[in-house]
Amino acid sequence: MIVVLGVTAVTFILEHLIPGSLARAILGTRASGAEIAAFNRANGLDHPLIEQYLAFLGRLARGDLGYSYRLNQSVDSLVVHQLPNDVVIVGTALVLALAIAIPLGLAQAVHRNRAVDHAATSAAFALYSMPSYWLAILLISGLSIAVHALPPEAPQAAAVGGLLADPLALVLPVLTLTLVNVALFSRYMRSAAIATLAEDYVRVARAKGLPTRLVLSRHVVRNSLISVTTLVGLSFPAVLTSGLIVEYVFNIQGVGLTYYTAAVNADYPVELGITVLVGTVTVLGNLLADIAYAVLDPRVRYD
Amino acid sequence: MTLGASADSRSRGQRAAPRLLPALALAVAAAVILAACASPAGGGSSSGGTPVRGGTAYFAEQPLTPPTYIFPLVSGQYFTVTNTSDLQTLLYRPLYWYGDRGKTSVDYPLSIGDSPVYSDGGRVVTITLKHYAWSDGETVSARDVGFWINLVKANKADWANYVPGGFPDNVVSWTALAPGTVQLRLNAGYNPFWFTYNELSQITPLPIAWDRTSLTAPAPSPTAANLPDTTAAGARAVYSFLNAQARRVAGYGSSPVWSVVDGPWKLTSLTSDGTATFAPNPSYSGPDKPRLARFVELPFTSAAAEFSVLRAGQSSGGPGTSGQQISVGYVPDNDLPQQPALRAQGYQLVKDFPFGFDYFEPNFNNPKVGPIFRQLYFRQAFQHLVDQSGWIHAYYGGLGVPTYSPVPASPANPFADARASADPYPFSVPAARDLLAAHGWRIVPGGVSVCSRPGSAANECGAGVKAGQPLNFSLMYPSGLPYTDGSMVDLQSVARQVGIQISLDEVTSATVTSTILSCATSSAACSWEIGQYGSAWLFAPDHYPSGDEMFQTGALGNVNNYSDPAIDKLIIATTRTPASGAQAALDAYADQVRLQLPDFWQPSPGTLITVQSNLRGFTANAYGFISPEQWYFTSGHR
Repeated sequence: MIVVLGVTAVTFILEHLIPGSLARAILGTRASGAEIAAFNRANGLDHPLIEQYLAFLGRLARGDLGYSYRLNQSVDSLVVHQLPNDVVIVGTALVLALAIAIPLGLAQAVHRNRAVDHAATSAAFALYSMPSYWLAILLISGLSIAVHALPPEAPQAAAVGGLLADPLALVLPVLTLTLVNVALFSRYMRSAAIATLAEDYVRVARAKGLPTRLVLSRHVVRNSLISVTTLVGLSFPAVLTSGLIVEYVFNIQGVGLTYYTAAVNADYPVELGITVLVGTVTVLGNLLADIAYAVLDPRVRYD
Repeated sequence: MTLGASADSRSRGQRAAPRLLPALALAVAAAVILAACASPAGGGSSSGGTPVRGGTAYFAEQPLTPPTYIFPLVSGQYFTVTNTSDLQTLLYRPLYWYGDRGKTSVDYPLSIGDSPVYSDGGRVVTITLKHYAWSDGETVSARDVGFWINLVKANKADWANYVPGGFPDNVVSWTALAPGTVQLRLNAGYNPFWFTYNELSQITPLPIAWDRTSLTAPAPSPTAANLPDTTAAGARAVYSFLNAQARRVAGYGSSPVWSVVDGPWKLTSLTSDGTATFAPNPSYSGPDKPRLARFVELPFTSAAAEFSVLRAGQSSGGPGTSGQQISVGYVPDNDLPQQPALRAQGYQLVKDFPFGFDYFEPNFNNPKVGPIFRQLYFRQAFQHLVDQSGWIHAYYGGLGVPTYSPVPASPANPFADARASADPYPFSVPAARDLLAAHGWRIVPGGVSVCSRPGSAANECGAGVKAGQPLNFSLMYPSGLPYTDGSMVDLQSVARQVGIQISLDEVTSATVTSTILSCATSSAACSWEIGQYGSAWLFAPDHYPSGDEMFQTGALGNVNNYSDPAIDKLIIATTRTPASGAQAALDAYADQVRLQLPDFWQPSPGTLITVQSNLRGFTANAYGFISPEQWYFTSGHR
């Protein structure tokens, strides 16, 4: 809670340090003095900064994230409408990426410096170094424009049911995010598994005659997942924000792009509201990662 | 066409200008000539094919600008083309319609009001309304015009188009002479063209069904007395009620308030992400009744996303519509070279040049560089460094027109004279160098030129410019516009050749808008030096190309603090001169501003619009309006 409050305070102060007139930025160059005064009055901008911040906290305590200057909607309603898009697309990509990266990284570690390892490493480096924007455009050019196999944009339905009703349209955005994440996670998994394979307890397990399948599943995977778990914990807020590029290219009305647009357009209530949300999810993600450490490694205990 | 317009203006000028009734006839005749002579500013879809009734047309919204506000009395924060031209005017017809079929003039056949009749030296304007009906069965009447005026007068601070001294300040009173005739008494005699194009353009009749302060109150009758809008306090309460209703975006489609329309369309739904779905208004009584069964506006997160859908040839378009093509879309600047591919897909390509001009602004009040900008020779030299043709070719993909005048020659219009097509300061580095050298600057190509002869004589740097003062400027412009980026970098490079150092400051458009402000020399806010908005000045909602909102001393749009009493006088003449001398006054103003350079002119960008192969009836509107009621599909095409 303190961390989230700190984040809101820093964001609030930084927003108000930006030079120029906020009302002018919102209302445009032709705004009259009376119009600017009315806007400032209506939005409480004619009060001292500390009062504005306390008013924001008061609204926050009532679950009110604010009202967009430009979109004529409450931030709550924006998030409620857009979050399902992100959860479905970014969440699916995250799960898929883990499902592919963990066995892939493990296989690379087991077959270290062989052809399969080199091939997977090359692919991972290529995907990781490729901007997701570029990857998305390549996929659209190939699969949507050249061969018309898949739609170039994500489903435009507002609810989860509507999104899932058009699975073909989900393929390209999910694939883009999955490929980028696989590259990242598999590299971490490979490194962790190589280190684990060199541990004494793995050697002992092998010396005891335990089959390789059991050595890997019982000893190597579990211990190697700790570093990947950290990454996954940090990826929770990414559900809200890392989809920005994919949202931009695949026409997804998501929280990440809304946050970016708000920052560019000086739509401070949206910026602040989403900051609170991202801050909260970041804290929760780290908490879940800490819990997962304890599950994965019995030596870890939180008193 | 420019010559034609010029000839027409001369013929108007040669007529006698007697007062009262003959003057009315002259005004009406001139207005008709003006409308008739305007030639299309933009292209349109092809004709031919067998019209088919029904079908759904999909229209691509501009990136990240969904419709957000339905009430036509719109404040600055919601004053976007998407709200005004793509939403409100489809539902609630303005009193006058401008720019139909590419023209730059008022279109009386499409307007609710007949040609306005001016009398008493331009102090009185009488408007007869055609028969239009609201969807609740009431007739669009003089009272509805009065309702709008009453609301705007009481809520000026909440209206984006308000200009102090302009409408409605210049309307002393309004009277319903008959249910279908309204008369406005003005506070002075105005140029009828200016008043028709700039002030009457601001009026949207509103249904009396909206003249209430709560949803539970019954919708009032148009003949009821003492309705809330007749007092200032009541009008403010009505605005508060309507504004509160307008904040319920998700409920627009089912709202008992917003469903009362007089336009060709009814809004059936508007989603949170900005998908707007319209159905024909069965009660629509005006011309051009819709032939489409449905009209859908689709939101996009980026121009790249829109273009992908165009190239793939399909759009998700919301639940149940998967596989539909974008009927009317646009080509992003970066993708202009892909025109052949789009043509091969069957798209019709329409070039659209809005009526306006583009520019960047020197800050005349900046304490450091303002004295330099106040020297006409310097502005002339700087303008010589702007390679408009080169920019159009290199950075605008050929889709731009050069600007030489505040009354631009392109798109073709009845307002510009022949001089608007002539470049008084063509691109020439030697000309710029010679001008600077002749006025006491020691030119250091590639370095920084400095003033070596301070003083006010003809061959000196000019008043306020100090000895040794360098030609160093910062130029702020918004990021994300490839043609602006390229142009400004080119300007920086060219200027270096005469020792002018420009540091480019690429920021967000919100930062530009909040920084490039009018300011006093002593103010900290006056530190900006040269500003570029990244968007052109469009003659909308004020359609007459007079300079009263931009170049007049103290005008809201005069953010760079330009002030010239001679030009102020010429501007006032454009707003007050009777019809007989109106064009001459406009020509005199335009020519003087063209030469005096209160801003630096740069090319105005156009837009390349894509139209589905079997869609007909689309024309680009010079002021940005859309008219899907004119569109229809044909059979026998791809």
